[in-house]
Amino acid sequence: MKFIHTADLHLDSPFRGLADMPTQIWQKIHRSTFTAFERIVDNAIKEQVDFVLIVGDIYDRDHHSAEAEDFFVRQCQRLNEHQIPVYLSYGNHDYQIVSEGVTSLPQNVHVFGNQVETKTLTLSNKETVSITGFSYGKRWLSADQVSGFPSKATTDWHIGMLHGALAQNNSEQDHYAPFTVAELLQKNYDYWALGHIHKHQVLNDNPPVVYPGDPQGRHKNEDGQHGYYLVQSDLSKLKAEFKAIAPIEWCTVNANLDHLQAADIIIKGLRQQVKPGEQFKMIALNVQSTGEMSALTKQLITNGTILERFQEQIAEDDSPKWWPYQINLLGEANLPKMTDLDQEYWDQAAKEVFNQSAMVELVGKLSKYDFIAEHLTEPSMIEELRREASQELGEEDHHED
Amino acid sequence: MKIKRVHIDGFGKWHDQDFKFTDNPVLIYGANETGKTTLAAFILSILFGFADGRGKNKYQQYLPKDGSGYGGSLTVDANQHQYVIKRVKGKNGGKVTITNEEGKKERADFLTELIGPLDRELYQAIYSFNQNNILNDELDREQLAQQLQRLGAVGSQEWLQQIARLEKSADSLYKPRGRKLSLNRHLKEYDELHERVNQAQLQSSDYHRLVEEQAKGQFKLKKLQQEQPKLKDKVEKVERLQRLWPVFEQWRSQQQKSEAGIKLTDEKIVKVQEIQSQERGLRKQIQALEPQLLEQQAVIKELSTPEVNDYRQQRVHYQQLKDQLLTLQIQGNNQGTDRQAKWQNELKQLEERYGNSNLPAPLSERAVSELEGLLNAISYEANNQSLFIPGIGIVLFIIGLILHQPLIWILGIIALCAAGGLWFKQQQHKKQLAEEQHSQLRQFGERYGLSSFPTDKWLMMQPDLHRYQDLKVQLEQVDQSKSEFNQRLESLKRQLPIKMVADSINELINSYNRWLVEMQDRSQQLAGAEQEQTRLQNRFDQLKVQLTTELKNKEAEYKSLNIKNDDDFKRLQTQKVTEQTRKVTTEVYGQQLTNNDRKQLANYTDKALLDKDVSMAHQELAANEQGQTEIETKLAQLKVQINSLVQDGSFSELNQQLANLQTTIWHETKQWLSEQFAIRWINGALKLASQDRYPKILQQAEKFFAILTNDRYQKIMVDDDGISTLSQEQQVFQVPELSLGTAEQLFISLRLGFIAVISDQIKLPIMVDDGFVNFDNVRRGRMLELLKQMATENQVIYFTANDQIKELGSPVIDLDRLNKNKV
Repeated sequence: MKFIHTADLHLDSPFRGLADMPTQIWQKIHRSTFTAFERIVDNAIKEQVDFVLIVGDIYDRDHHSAEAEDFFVRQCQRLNEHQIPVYLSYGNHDYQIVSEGVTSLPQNVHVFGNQVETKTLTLSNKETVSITGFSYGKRWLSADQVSGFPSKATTDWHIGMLHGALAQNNSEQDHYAPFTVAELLQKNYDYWALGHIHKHQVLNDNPPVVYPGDPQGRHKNEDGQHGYYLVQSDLSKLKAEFKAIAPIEWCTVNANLDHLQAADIIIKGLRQQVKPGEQFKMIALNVQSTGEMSALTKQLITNGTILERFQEQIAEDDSPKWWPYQINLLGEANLPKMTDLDQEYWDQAAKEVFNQSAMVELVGKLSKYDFIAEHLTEPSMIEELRREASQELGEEDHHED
Repeated sequence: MKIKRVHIDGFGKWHDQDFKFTDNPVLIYGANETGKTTLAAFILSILFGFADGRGKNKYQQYLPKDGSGYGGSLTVDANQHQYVIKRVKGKNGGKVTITNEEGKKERADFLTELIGPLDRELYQAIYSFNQNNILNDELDREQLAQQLQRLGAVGSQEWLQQIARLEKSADSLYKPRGRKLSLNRHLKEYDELHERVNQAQLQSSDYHRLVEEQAKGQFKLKKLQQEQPKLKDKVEKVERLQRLWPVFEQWRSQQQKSEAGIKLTDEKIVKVQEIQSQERGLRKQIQALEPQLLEQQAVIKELSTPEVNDYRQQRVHYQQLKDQLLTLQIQGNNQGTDRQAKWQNELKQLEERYGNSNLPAPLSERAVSELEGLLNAISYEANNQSLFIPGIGIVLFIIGLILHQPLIWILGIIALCAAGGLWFKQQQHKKQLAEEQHSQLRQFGERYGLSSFPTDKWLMMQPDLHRYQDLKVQLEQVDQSKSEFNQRLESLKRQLPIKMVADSINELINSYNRWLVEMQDRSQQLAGAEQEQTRLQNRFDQLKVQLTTELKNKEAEYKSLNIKNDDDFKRLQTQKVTEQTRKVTTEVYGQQLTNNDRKQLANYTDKALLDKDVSMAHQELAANEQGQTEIETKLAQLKVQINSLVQDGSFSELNQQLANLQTTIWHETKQWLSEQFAIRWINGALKLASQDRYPKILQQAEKFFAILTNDRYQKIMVDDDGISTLSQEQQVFQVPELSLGTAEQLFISLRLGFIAVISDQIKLPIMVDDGFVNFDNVRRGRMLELLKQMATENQVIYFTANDQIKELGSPVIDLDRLNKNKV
């Protein structure tokens, strides 16, 4: 038996943390979630797998484009042409009421209903496989869904499909079909095909309990390799092997600028510190702030001038292998020296000024934008704002230059 | 820190110049253009670096015009030690070396220990008093109050500027009620974009709906496509039936008509047609005969002249007349004129021959014998028979004619011929005798009157004489017979049916004969014509009879057919043919119809029902096809719509734009937040510092304020509303209530108070550059007192262009004099 386990395709969902970019780059990025899945299908056909499991979040419900659906249907049709069945369940991002009836999906696609159900198939080598799973009918599933899974069936193999997160024992957080590994192992299944977490990871080796991650990372926190798992039987066991296929890789590069000053030289210096790879890279540059660095340089970095010019240069390349989407200036931002005399006052004032309520008050109605509110809830936000404010205080008026 | 000595190597107009600051305050006098400002700038430059020649500091460099070494040194006292701070031309404000009293160079950052964390600006903000950094007219009171409040922190002025900058920056980014600001615009853009995304999301659900519709449409189409052949089949079937309907109808009506068929049989047709043919033939013959008959009648009419009729009546008689004529002719011929003429001629000849018109009578036979004896030699005995034979012939001939017995007259002719022959022989014989006896004969001649003739001819003459005699007789006879003949001819002539003019009987006979022949001919013709007419008439009558028979037959046949005439028959026949044709057609039709067809067609009582079925089948098919077309059109539209949705890409693009805009907005929000925080932080720090330091500052400031205001104000108070002053009269004045000069004095007092308060942290020289413009002259006298007061903690360097300073009794560095000395 051989099958592909993937999840969280998030077809056509936007990439976070990017500002405007040239069409060329945007196209690459836009195609990437598609390309990733297309490659999975290519490999499924090439490897002649017995079936493909897609454990939820094929689309983002909020970003469910016709293009994405059309694309998905066409890819399923490709699999259909090669008699490769697809078993899919919907996750928290593409939750929907699954009902019988006319569907645009080809016949090889088997969709799990909103209640836990088991589908059985017989492989070409006569082996029988039970697949148990369910689809999200609503955004949150706070209840343990695994308890509804049957014990291992009498078929040769039994696979569980579960889109969810490990239980945190916190009712505030356990919204996504919370489970424990022990609970899964208790079912005695041969494989647990998980979905939801975007970083691929193996929670248990035998039997494998696997998060395949999303085939294409979509923001800086989804860095590293992305792909799918190719699962093959080895005697009575199933072995999962990670296959990287993401066309775009998110990377963070630590760069050192020392005493470089002119913008072009800074960019040149930064450029030399990025090593292009096989995949297209979305690069965030972390520049360590040092005492050597001039205030102007810092300002050029923080106000985005360097990034802008850097991007302009990259965009002029024939076929860029990477794209710098962010340059961060790291390091302790020191207040200007003249505060030394009043250090105690400044420290005291900082304590009074930098706090959550002040932030909320300042932000005011801006917090109605959930993406802003979300950022504001980040625990390090206050600290970050203080760092930036320090930078602001140190900033001089260079506009007359 | 106190400056003890100033040494200028080269700076502006100064070069290689030393100043000793022994007193405190250091009073420096110089009129305009004497180098006061340059000296002050030098001190600042040594402490904080040379101006870099850019921007506002462009004219603060004071590069020596005469090319001497740039820079110089300050000798300062600090922490009970003396240091020499030397600064020469170099990067970043010049190269600094600090040498301690032991001649040892200090570390580069030792300068910070001397001058604290101050830079040139901050130093000036705290320690420098000149027109630029004390109040001026434009400064409004509120701002002044604010400034006064925040005087408690190091660099409060700077910080206030920083706040202003940050506020400006933040305000240019975002205001809660702003519109045109970057973040506000972005937020608006975001709201709009979000709306568009929502719209696009709707489009996406459109897509679902469309795809669903597409699937349904395809299903329907498939169904219709499956139904279509059946409907087509049905149409074909009913159309076939429709096509067959006339055949069927024919066939069916034939089925019904066949019993009421026509009696006219083929045999009957043949029979009638035979009769008709006969009839036609007969009629034709009759028709042909009629003109013949008429012609014949005409011929007969033409032929049956009275003459011919007469002839026909008296033919025998006329024949007899002819015979009589012929007989007469024969008679005529016997005494024919020819012979008569011949005879006369002969007679004449004989008379001529003998030259005598009256010849003797012939000798008798005895005389002849005598003569013959006389002639002896040759004698020729005349034969009696010579007349006998022709006589017989003539008789016979006449008898023959009379009797109308050709044989007899032929015998007669033969006899005549024989007689002729014989007569000729006798003549020859006679001649011979005459010759032999001619002498004797003369005598003889005499006797017989022959003497006038040669003797030899006597005998010979005999025949002639005989002949002559005969001829004479004969001629007489002829004349006689001739009259007889003429009489008879005339009689005959009179009997002839027509008047004939004829010179001779022959001619007459010929004419008559011709007439007879003609009459006979004509009569024969007439007879023939009459015979022909009779034949034709007979034939005609015969045909008539036959025709009548045929007509009767026909009538009988017609009667049996219940018709009257040929036309009826013809019609009947046509009907029959039509019927037969129909029959044949029907048969052919019948062959076209299968049993099944007939069965199905039999279900329809009339064509209308069938037509209805056909039109219904057509309608069904049309409905099906239309349905297909509609669905296909719909599907095509759907496909286009779906494709446009799929290819649109706007949704994902919008989403990405939205995500990008979120990034931008968050970036700006963060920027704005950090600026806002920075403002708050500065304000907070300043406020804290002020709160902490103000009591001390006020304490110090009150002293200065009293000196400056000539004790008019004794107290400076700070509360939440701001700063106020208490006058001698115990009246409270808010800063805005003070005169501008007094406000300025308050400001200076507070600043000096601050310098005094932070002097435990940092003590730098106070530089006053003739700044007290708004201090009225009355109080100027107290200036020195003030400077002295200030100099209790800090070194005070006072630059002034007012020469009154020289009259205050304190040592003054007079730049005017210095310059004059130099010159």
